[in-house]
Amino acid sequence: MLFVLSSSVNAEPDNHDVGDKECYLCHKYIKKNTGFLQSSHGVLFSNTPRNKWEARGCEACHGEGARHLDVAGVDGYSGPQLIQSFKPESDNIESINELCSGCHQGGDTLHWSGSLHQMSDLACTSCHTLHSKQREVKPKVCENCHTEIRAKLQRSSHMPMREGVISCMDCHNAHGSSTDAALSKPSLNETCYQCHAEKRGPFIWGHAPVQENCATCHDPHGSSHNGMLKMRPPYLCQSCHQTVFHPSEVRGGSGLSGTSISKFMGGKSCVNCHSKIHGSSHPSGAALQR
Amino acid sequence: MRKRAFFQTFLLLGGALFNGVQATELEGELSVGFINFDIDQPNTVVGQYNGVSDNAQKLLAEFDFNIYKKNRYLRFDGDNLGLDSRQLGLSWGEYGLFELSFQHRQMVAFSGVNGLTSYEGVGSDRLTLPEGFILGATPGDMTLAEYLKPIDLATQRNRNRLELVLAPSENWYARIAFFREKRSGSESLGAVVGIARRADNYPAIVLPAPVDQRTENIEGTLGYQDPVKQWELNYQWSRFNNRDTTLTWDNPYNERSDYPQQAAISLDPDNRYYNLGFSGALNFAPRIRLVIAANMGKMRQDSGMQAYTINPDALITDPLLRSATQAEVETRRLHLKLSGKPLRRLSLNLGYNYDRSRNNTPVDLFQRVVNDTGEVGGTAQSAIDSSRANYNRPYQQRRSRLKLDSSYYFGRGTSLKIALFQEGVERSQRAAKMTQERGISARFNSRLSPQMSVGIGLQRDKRRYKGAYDHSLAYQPFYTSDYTDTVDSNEQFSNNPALRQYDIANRNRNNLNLTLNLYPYPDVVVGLYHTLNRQRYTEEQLGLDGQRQRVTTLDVSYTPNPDFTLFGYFTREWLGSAIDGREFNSAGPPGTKEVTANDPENNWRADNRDLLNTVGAGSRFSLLRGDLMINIKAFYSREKNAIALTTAANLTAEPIPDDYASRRGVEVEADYYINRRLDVRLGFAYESLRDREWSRDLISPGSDASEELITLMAAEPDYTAYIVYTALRFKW
Repeated sequence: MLFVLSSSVNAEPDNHDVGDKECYLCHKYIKKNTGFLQSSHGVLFSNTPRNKWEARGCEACHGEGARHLDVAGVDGYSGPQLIQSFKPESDNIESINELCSGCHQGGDTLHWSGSLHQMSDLACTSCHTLHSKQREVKPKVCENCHTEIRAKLQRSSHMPMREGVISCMDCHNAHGSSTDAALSKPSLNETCYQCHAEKRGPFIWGHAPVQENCATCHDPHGSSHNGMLKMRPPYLCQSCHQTVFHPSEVRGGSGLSGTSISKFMGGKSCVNCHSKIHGSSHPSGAALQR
Repeated sequence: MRKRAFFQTFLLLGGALFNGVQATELEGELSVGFINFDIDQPNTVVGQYNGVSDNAQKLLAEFDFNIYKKNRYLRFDGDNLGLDSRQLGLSWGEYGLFELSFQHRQMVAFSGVNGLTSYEGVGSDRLTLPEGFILGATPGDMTLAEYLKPIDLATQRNRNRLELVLAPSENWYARIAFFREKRSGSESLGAVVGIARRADNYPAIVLPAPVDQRTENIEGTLGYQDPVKQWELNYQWSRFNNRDTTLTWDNPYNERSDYPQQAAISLDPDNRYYNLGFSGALNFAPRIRLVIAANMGKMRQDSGMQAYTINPDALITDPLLRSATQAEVETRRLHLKLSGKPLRRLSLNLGYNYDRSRNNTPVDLFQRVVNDTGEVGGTAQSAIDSSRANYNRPYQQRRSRLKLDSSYYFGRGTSLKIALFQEGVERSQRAAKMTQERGISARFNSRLSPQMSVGIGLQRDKRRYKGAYDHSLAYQPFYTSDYTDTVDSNEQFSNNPALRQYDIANRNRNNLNLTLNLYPYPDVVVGLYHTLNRQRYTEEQLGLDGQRQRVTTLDVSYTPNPDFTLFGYFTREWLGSAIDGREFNSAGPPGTKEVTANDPENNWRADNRDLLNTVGAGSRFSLLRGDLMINIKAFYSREKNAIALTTAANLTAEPIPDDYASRRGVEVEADYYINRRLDVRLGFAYESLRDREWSRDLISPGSDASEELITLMAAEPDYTAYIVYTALRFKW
């Protein structure tokens, strides 16, 4: 929020500026109910401007107000309001984003140009409420479009998002990043290691797909299988491991009536024994059992 | 009185920080309430992430205090105070100049199962069986049930984070952040005794492992920006410490004389990590931008090497070849992106990613003492030509990716996007040395009319490995040549030669995405989304054969005015996958391994089907001229997992029961505004879970349901919970 570039746009006041007081005569709601005057935009543009651009107040972003005053609220007038609106419509997205990126080009927004959201015709105001003092974007905003993720978060094995313990922004930078999935760290694994540092290793006996990509086995948003696994073990493991004897054997329902349940099926399945599945540094840990 | 003192302290602190500012503006809210959990049976799923596992009454508080004066502010906020997952934050700053903030987060996570164990010393690194415990060949022979007691399988994180952000000018900024996290509690960890290839009975046990870990992290950023160029220099350093390095446990199994009395399993070792990164962007022309991001990192794990075994009967004569693990991985990453608009309506992006991890861990020959189990004759030393003399083989990989994105905007909400990518990955120690993947995607969006918009997206990509899929690449380096010389050249494989591991196998992937948005009335929005993903592994081989996913979502909302909203959604997901397998063994005359590995009569196939339905609806409206806000939400989700097995002539497999879980709930909240500053909230929530999971439900510790496994999991986690809360909120 601190990293803004107010000098990047035309700093000269427009001759047709009318000043904030005129705006608030009609737009009382913004002044009184949104917390705008306590937000960073409100404070810098309406209270303590640092330069001529910010000193224009509302008109710095919305444009000159004089012509808008001529038509706004006039009985019977249904034409354009002659002011920059930040309500995203199909034909003003580019102008909204250009206005915002006039100040917000560095920091978290450095990768915005060419990012997935920018290329998907999203406006900054598709997610952000510019007059709000609230700084965080809540997961509900993301779920509006990412309906598949919303469904995954309802699965029995899930990230603690629906409980409000973490949010989308703990892992993603919605403005884009150097990764395809707009992750906040340089790779998927390094993103996971922010909370799961114990999995970082490296280990003497590594497990190659684990070191390469946690999402080889896990669905990071949620799954109907324990441990957010993409598939139930032992079948998940047998997708890649069919060695002589027990790893290659078919695992059926024998004993599942409660008589003699195989350790390959009950409990943690393969991980009952190969519990160091993420890697082992024990000198005898070659089979990831120790 | 205490509340008044608190306010006075906060104002005094605020006054001090604002350096004598006369008229500070205090704004905020405080909510204090009471919450009652009525749960039909103790359960760790209902409050998996908030710490409530049984009937409970708790005081609940949230607050958000702010002091403003001109461009300075002081914030103090707290969420979920009263629950085990909660947070406190304090920040002081001046807009456009600096912010100093502190955050404390506490997060609890139950494992989602009710734990039962006979062990004493839970939470420590030494698990002992109680005095009088009778060992046995199987759980049924032991006095396991007699000593069972419930345990909490839960961890708690406490994270304290301090951050300072400075922007001394409009062009320069800096940030430094530090956090320290303590994670403590218990989690389940599998362990085993016995030697698989020598006897049929190598029983397993799931142990309560201690969690007592610390993570420290420092991140620093120095940045510069002007209208033409922006850059950042980032540094991250992180240290992970585990107070417990090994878990030693008494062995309850005694079927064989060479089973150890105690065994040990390593716990997550300490590690270090640093990363130095640079990212920058340059605007060449008004519509051309180059972005570069590069970083180098190192992960190191250098704990003292543990002993091969703690079993005095498992004698190893060869010493360990090094005293510390010395494991180290270096990472290098580069990202380049050129984006621009050569025409007013045409956007182009060209991106390149390079990612390399180099593993510097020394390679040594290690003895494999299997699960602390001794050998008849009192030695576990393996000869150089044994399959249990193994080299560690550090894994490393190099990846490069080139991507071109284009988008043309036709106007009136109509656009066409086309993207192409190519990716190559080189890997060590894998059966395929290199894979190459190419893909194309296209998406068309159009606002057909004010009442309708549509979107259609297609994606297709192909991955192929280069050269031969050679199992010996992963097999031979692991063993000594003395050992492989004893193995017939046709049998020098671990995995069946016909297996293709799915992360490196040849694959075709297709994706179809359809979107339909309808606006039949100004206040009604209907959205219909459908996605079809299909992955096909193209060779007729063993392993993952294919995967399919179909997801359909219907969203409806009705908002006639800002004070009334009605919404509903339904998502149906269908996931399918199939795995082909072939049993093989080497129990027989020479050549048995090769013969059985190639015998199609040993084939089997597992078809997995997951069906998931999620439906929800809700409304938000006001009554009494806006003084009473009502919020209603209801949801129902059901997931079903079915596995169908088919086998060839030599095999049989009994069917597997289906698993399912259904969760339903209703939340109703009424918020009555007594006046502009004071409101009272009254809420009710009902939630119910029915969960059938055979791998957990059918085995309980103490039963003789399994002769070779003792688990930690007890009662199935079904529950019905009623939650009532009330809170008074004061705003000023």
